[in-house]
Amino acid sequence: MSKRKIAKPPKLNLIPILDAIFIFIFFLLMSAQFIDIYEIGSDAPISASSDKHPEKDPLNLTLVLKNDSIVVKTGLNGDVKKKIAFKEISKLNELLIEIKKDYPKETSAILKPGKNFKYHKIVNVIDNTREIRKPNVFVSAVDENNKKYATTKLFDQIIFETQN
Amino acid sequence: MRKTFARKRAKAEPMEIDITSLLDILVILLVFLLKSYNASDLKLDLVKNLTVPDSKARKLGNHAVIIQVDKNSNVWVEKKIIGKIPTNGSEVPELLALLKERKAADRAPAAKKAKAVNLVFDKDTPYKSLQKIMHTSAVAGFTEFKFIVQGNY
Repeated sequence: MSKRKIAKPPKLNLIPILDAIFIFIFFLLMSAQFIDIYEIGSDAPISASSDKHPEKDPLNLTLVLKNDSIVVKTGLNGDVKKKIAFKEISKLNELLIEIKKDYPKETSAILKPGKNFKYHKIVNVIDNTREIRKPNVFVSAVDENNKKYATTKLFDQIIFETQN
Repeated sequence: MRKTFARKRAKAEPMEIDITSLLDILVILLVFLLKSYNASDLKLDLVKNLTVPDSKARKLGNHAVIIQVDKNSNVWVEKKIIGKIPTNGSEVPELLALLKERKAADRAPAAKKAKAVNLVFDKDTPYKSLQKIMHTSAVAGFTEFKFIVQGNY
């Protein structure tokens, strides 16, 4: 009686897959950026005139940024709505949520920083102006076709103006 | 005599390398790189003495002229220093000349000419410096400002 040889398990040829992984790794290493960079858009202000009369007075939301406080103004006359200390910036976000509820069509805010107001503080104000910071909180906004939709965006069009 | 010492040498099988650990490392590296992959076409080489501020913004940047301003108010365009922000006046003359040159070299039709400019400022830059750079860019025809910030989770 002859003894049957035990069959060895077939070996997988991993060379092609290794080649592919190496190429993929090189591609990813070349395109890797180890700091996450993002952009905040802002357009230079352009003057425009329109014959249309709005149903409601424009919001004209203006944030005057002083060294330690933010003055929130609204309306064409620039009525002061609230003055917020910079260290309590979360209150700005809460106030803007309330304003957005009354003006769902408005998307722009004017920033008026002081000459020596630091850039990182401006970015902080922009963050609090563009979006709701609290999780799971939404406001309703209105699109061009007057359709309501829930969003976390507040006033995402930022325009810079200079203090006199 | 010779026959007694002669032994048949066993035929050597080709040596096998165990690549399991190598494969493990490669897979980990692949996952890490895939996680840090950024689809943005904006490639940014920060100059020295510049710290980008943190932000909650999540919009990926796009390729455009990159203007950087470091802690010492030096102005860099595409990693080449072009001058300092002047204390007087509302514009940066060297930057204006360079941006106008760029605009003129852009062969696209007027309506399609690039308007965007990526602005990278040090986090402690005062607004008066930002204003001068923005004003200069707008005068040169670059009216879409993209402030470059660092993701903050």
